[in-house]
Amino acid sequence: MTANMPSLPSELHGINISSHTKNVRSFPAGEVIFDAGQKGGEMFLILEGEILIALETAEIDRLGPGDIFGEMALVENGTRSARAIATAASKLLCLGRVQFADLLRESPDFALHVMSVMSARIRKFMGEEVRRQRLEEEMRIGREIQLSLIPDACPGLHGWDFAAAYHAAREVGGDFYDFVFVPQNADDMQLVVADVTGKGVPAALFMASCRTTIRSEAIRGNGPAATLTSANRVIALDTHFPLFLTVFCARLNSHSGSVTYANGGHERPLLLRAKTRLTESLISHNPLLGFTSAIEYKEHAIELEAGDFLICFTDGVTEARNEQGEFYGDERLQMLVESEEWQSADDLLRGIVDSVAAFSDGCQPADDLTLVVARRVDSKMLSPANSISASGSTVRNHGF
Amino acid sequence: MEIRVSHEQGRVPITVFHLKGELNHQEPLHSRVQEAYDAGTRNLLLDMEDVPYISSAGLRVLHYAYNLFNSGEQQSSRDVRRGIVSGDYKSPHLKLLRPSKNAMKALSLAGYDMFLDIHDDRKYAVSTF
Repeated sequence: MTANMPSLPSELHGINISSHTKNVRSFPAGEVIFDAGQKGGEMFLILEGEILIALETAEIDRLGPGDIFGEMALVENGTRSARAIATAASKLLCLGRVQFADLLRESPDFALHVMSVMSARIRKFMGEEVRRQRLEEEMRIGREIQLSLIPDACPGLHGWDFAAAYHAAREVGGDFYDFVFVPQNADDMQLVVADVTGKGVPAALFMASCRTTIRSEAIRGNGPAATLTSANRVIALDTHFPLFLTVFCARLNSHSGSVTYANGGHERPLLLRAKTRLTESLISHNPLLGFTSAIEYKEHAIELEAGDFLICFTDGVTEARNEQGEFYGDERLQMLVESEEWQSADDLLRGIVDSVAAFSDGCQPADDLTLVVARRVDSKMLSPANSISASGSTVRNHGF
Repeated sequence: MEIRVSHEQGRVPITVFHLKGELNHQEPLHSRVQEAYDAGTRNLLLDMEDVPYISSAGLRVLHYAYNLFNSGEQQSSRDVRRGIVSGDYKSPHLKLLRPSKNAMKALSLAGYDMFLDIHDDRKYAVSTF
């Protein structure tokens, strides 16, 4: 790129500018010179000003005096691959197909310059393609790590019915859920739903490491608060990962509807009461894991009656967006959950997943979506097949 | 995200970042925070009135700013830890101003309001440094 020139040059890249003055056109700042998809019948040499090359909202390049653009569509007799806009008052030498062919024949300097520009662009695109493929590979590895750690099925715990869903966003996030049984106490199970604040392979590795840390604390028989307090110390003191984790951890008992829970900065689960068909948000105020090691997580207790639902989710549910950029939001989720008499954990889970998908209407989710629904059932609600241990379903998708 | 910078003089000099747009990437806030710190700023007020959304990347950059501005903390780390456990400790060097309802939800859910003072009034916020 050359510096701004006070007056038009007489010769540039083997073109005698003075003999082409009738082809010099002025473009005010903001004028679109061509748009992506248009037929390309001209190429341009910038004599003055600045041209922005953009594709949708992405800036591809900014060109100045001495630069050429638009040659690709002209050579291929094809359409424009991007938009060109004058970002300052600009003067361009516009060469049609015939003039371009004449110049190629008459001026080896011009032909060489066009070839060198195209060669540089091909090199740049090849480099970008290699980077894109590396990124795709990294995303694939991250997704594999993540999926390998998500339970294949929901567990059986007497008196409970479970359903879980995990939908991965295109860019790997760090959601996970887990069911941890304590060997010393077969009546209890810890449910963990978590979200790592990051994306890609680092988030997937961090998620794997955090899952092991939380699991090892829970498996020792620690309650939810002690599990999060101990896990947080380990995570916060490990400075290799500048990432955090939001976690909801609950201990469910098979003999009663007693649930103790702790929340480390995670989306507040909803409790749907069967009797009233109203929801309560499980309020808890503790920071996410990894912020600082000096946290004592608080434990809370609730009692679920037969037919009550506990709905745990990540922000992929409430922060799903539609085409207008609006969020699905807490209120919509609450209204949906209260709107029907759900027959099972799976019924409610599918209702939420379908509602979020309908709201997003094909918009690519920016984040993973994880949803775990637990329903308290009494012995009369259990069929003979699952009267000993109610089971549930797991829905795992790689995207909507 | 746009960042407009102004300065206030309270008991100490305070730099105010007025943020505009979704805080859903680490940049440019991460670099601007670092630049301000490197240039000598030790007290930062983030005006979040025009921040409609904070993502997890946004939370990470706020944590980065918290650590950076607390790195010169006069109190011993033991006292800070004790204050955090008792809920009495808030960063004296990084404070937030007027977060939107949505931004406040993200800050509160993640427990950031346990470490950061959040004010509604700029004059009052300045007086608390």
